Amino acid sequence: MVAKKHGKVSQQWNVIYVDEYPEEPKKGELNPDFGLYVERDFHIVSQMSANRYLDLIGNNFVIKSPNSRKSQIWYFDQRSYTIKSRIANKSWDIISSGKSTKMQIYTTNSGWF
Amino acid sequence: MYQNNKVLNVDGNKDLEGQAVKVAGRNNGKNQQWNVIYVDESKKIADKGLNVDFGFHVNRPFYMQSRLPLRRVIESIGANNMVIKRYTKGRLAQQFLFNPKDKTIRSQQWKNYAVEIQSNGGSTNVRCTSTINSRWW
Repeated sequence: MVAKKHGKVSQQWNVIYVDEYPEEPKKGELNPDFGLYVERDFHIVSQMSANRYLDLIGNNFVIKSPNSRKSQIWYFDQRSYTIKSRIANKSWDIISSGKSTKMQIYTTNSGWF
Repeated sequence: MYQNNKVLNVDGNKDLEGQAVKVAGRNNGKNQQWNVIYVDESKKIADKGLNVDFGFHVNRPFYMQSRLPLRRVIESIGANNMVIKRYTKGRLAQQFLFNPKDKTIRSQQWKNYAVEIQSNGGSTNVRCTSTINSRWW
């Protein structure tokens, strides 16, 4: 849309020439904006005393002891900028478009709001 | 894990097995702090010796003997329901092992079967079932 100039970031743009557009990080490379390596599997480990792992039970996020299951393995997907589960290839999502406190995994149009 | 003032939060600040993880505003509590550990850098799992966290020797067969007067042992019947039976020397269906990889108790006879509480932990029935789905909830 257009609007009267107010100078805020929503009206500021960079022009990047196609031949100068930086390449996106590939598999195994660090995405510095997100601080995660692309498609490199990881666990998310709670710093609470038992150091349990983030796990996916059904569609619920819980903490569990490490169990070598795919439900405890996550990876960063460069294409959607989401964290995906290895067990379902679906992405982290906050229910109700971010209005809920509950997490789920959902199709890749999901957002980490 | 932080975005738009929301972080992953262990619900109720309770460090319990199966405790829910949701999102909440950031408060810097331990229940909101996480480490990302890449799988290719995680520690190798010991395949022998005592697992201190679970109190079992790894991959060392054991019986589960009742303390009732006849001291029967648990037997897995047909890789499914578990009952108490008189001890029979060498009967593999009465022997179990602790698997350090998935933290399950496996049947010695049906090595791909593990002890689980039926109905995703919602039942009172304990059985041996395929390790693909089994969990000790």
